[in-house]
Formats: sequence, structure tokens, C-alpha cells
Amino acid sequence: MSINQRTDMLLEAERLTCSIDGRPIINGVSLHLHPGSFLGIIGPNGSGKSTLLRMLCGLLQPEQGRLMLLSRPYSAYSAKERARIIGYVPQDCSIDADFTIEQIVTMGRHPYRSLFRSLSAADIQCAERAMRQCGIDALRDRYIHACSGGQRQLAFIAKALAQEPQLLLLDEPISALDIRHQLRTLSLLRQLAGKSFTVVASLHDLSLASRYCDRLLLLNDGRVEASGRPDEVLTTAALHAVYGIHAVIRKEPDTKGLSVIAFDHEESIANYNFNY
Amino acid sequence: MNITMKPAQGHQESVPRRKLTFKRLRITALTIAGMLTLLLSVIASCSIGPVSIPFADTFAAMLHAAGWLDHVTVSERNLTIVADIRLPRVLAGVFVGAGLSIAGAAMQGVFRNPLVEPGYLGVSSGAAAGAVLCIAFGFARHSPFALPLAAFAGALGAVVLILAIWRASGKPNVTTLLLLGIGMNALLSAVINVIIASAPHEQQLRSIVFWLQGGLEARTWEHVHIIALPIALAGALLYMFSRTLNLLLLGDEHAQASGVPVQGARYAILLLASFLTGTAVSVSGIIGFVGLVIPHLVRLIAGADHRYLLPLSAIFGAAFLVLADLASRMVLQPITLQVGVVCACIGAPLFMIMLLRKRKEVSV
Repeated sequence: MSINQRTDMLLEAERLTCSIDGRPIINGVSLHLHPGSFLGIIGPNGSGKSTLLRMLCGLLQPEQGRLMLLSRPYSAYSAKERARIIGYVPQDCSIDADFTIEQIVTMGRHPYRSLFRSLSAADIQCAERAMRQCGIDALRDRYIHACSGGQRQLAFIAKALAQEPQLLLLDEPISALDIRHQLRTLSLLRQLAGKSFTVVASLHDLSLASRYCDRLLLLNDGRVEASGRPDEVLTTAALHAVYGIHAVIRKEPDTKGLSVIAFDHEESIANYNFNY
Repeated sequence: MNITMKPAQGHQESVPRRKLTFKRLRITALTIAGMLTLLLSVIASCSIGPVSIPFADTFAAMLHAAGWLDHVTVSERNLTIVADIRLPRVLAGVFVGAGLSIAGAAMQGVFRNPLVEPGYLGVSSGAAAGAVLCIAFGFARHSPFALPLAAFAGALGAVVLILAIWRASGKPNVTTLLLLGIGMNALLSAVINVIIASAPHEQQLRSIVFWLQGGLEARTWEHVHIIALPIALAGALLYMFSRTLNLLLLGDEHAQASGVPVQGARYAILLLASFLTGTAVSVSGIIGFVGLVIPHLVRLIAGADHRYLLPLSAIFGAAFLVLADLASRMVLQPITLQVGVVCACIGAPLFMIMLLRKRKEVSV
């Protein structure tokens, strides 16, 4: 690998391992992120999606392996420096503190403020832009505990965007949302990804993942089972190996995605009438 | 399919100036009201007593004592009463009340639990153990500062020990720390009880009980001088962490991902809050409920933002303690109650009302 390629790389992870309470959760995962794409991490429950994301964000130290951010090791960054590069939206966004959406989004500016400096005009502008991007500027004065799950999710995405990161990590951003908010969130992420902005999200809905992501990473039992373009990763064989399901996968030319119809018994496919 | 974006043209580059919202107005009003309450309670507390002094004379005497007013028409006796007897006691109350309340507000933020009080890490019981040992061994007679010093050493010792155990435990969550603190408190109360039971003299027993109940009587300018600067400094340092405290309220992962070194920030905040508490109780003895009730009440009105919560807690905590001290002197005249007892008498029912209301609208 030449030096030039390396400097292009946003994030490199080599053979990461991590175990929690002695149980291995991540077992030799390697991952290379180039700037400007939308990567979906898929895999069954307990396959290590959240743990991998938390390691990529620096919340969790890998036990072994190498983790580099913009060709420097993670340990070379302070918490604030890292927060200027990586934004993270945890799975659990249920907060019952007495803060308004505007206050929460503004907190995203923390990595840019010293202990003494108050909010600058640029800070305010940045928080405004993030709220507009997420379409929540009308809700700014609403208290976060009075918001619906979808609004909370958007608020925390806006907070992460106010950090002006180059990489946005989201842990199951749509699993608690209704279908309208799922689409809204994913198309927001889709629009954000590109040029120098990279999005990584763990997802459960395979059809939506194939439709919105550039690349997918299929995890199984802490290992990478497959990675690549959605149509390369989502194969009948891979889904059977990982999820133990029998799937019919079809290209959907209108959405440029795949539709995955899953059955738990092989016979069910034969009984299903696909000729509509 | 693009449901998302609102058209953003037009106001793209305009920096919206922060509106003077109802909330901001309320906080300004609350600050002014708090300052006035504090000033009035200080004046009232310096005026009311066995010798009644008119409010105007007290105010003039206070200005005179501060050196801002040269010629006053107040009698020499009243000047002495205000400047040398009542004012130091009241100011000690101001600093103790402010210190305990800021510490309580910060601790409630770190633990994300509105029912935590500054003594939860064993600070107060550590101070009590230090003070009680000092009295029982008779050191307290040698110097008026032996007692505060012993109390402060006990407070710091207890909290450093707890934080060291927490660090060594490898369980970096605050629930573990809270439980460790409860264990430490139980252990230290046992130690205190042993000493009380074996106190050789009636007089020492009385001193111990008085200290444990907290009081401000006979506090002098020396007491004010030793706590004023540490409390003001530690309070200002803690205030600089108010944005960090806001982020910690969102949860550890949110805070860490927003650039807060969570563990380091927690140590710093807990040490500062404990330092404040230790300094305050070293002069006043154990005063409960101020650090619990005041931040909670302020939060109810002013919201969870620590940039407002910490200073407002300081103001109202100071006013509350001064008024409680006044009540302790005046309610059952000529008997004086201990101010700690008065605080508990007002604070405990408030605490219970808060508990009952907790899930309705209150959260950290």
C-alpha cells in the first residue's frame, strides 16, 4: 500500500478484537473507510455491530489490532480533537433531562469551545444549519423529553452534525422509528454522505440498507462475513449462513435497491406466489 | 422521495440573535429575586436578635464595616454588634450555604440523580469523624482552628479513599461509586458512634452532638476568612465545568462522543464538589438538606442548564441558610436551635414532597 493511498484513508481498522466479560464480541475485524460514502453494518443481534461502532468512535479500546484515524493512532487524539472528526449517535437517545432541542444541538459545539469561551456567532450558525438540515428547526424550543422517538433521533443527529465531523457513526438509527421517519432519516444520511462526509450506520432492515448504502458490511459472530456493494453482500447463501433464513432477493430497478423477502423454512418459498 | 430538507434559502447566512425568550426572562428575574432575597436576609439576620437594630442602621453599619461609608449615625454599640458579632456569623452562613448548594447541584449532575446530596461520597461523615476524634482527644481545646482542620482532613481523606477504591474497582460507573459512598458513610457513622459512646466527659459529648447538628453560633471573622476564598475559588472552578455537566447529563456515551473525557471530568468535578463540601462543613458542622433541596428547587424553576443552575443554587443556598440560621435563633427564644436541625426540619418535608412529585415533571 503506497503512502498516498494511506493519507486518503479516513479510518483504518486492522484485525480488531474485543471481548466483554471474557466473551469475545469482535474477533479480527478489519475495515477501511474512504471519505465520502455510506456504509451500512448489518448482521444478526449480538453479532458485534454496536461494539464495532463504539470502538470506531473510541468509546471502547480494542484489545488487539490497530485503529488509525487520518493515519494517526486514536491515542494521538484528545477527546475534543476526536469529536471534531467523528460524530456518534448512540442507539439510546431517550434522555429525560430538561433540555430543549436547541440546547442539545448547541452542545454539539463543545469540541470547539475552550473552558472560558462562550458561544460564538459561528457556533450558533453551525447549530442552526444542523437543525435545518435535519428539519427540526421548528421544534427548537421543545423539550427533548416531550419529543417523539423520531424527533429525538433527528435532534441527536443534528447535535452530531453541529460537531462538523468528517465521519458520522450511528448505532441502529432507525430501529425505533416508524416507516416515515425511517425513510426520512435514511435519506438525510444519504444526502449527507458524499464528497468529504462519511456515514456508517448499523441497520437491521436489509432492503432499506441495500437501497440507501453504498457498501455493506455483514457481521456474524464478531467476524466479517462479507463486505462490498449491496448486491455482492446480500446473497441467498450469505443470508442463510448468517441469519439462518431462506430469502428471495430481487433487484428493484425503481429504487436501485434490493428487496429481501425472508422465510424461516425453505418450503415456504415454494408456496409463495411471486408472479404478481 | 425527498421528504427531508426544508428550503433553506433566504435565511442561509443570517445569524439569528438569541431571542429574549420567556425562559431567559425567567432566569433573569430569578437571579434578581435571589440577590434581593439574599441581601434582605443578610440585613434582617444582622438586625434581629436580643438587641433589635433598625434595618437602615444595620445597612449603614454593614457599609461602614466594608469601608464604603465613613460617617454613620449608628451608635458605637450597634456598630460592634453588627460588625463584630452578627455579620461574621451571617457571612459564614452565606459561604457555607452557597458552597453546599453548588456542590449539591454538581453532584446531582454527575450522578444524573436529583436525590444525591453533597455528603454522598462520605465527605460529611468523614468530616464528622475527623471533628469527633478531635473533640474526643481534646485537641479542640488547644486552638480554635484544630476542629475545622480536623474536619477538613477527615472530609478529604474520606473522599480520596472512596475515589481510590472506585478507581481500583475497575467498575467506572457512577452507580458503583454511589454504593461505595453509602458503604463508607455507614462505616464512618459506626466509628463516630463508638467514639460518642466512649466519650470520657459530659462536656465533650455535648460538643460532639452540637458539631454533628451543625451550627453557626460564635463564628468569627477568622472563620469567614478561612472559608471565603476556598469556597469562592472552588465554586468558580466548578462553574467552568457547567457545560461539561450538561453533557454528562445526556449520558456517558453522548458526553464522550461530544469530546468530554468523561472519567477525568468526573474526578475533577467530584473532587471540587467534595472540597467545597469539606470546607463548608469544617466550619459549620454537619448541615444536611441544603445541598439536596436547594439545587432541586432551583432546577424546577430554572431548568437543568448548569450554567444557570450552579450560580442560582449558590445564591438561594446562601439565602436559605442565613434565614434558617435566623429562624434557629428566633423561633424558640431564648432557646437557640442548631441550624442543621432547622434545615432538616424545613428540608425533610420539602424532600418528601419532591419525592412524591418526582415523576410528574422533575428530572435532573
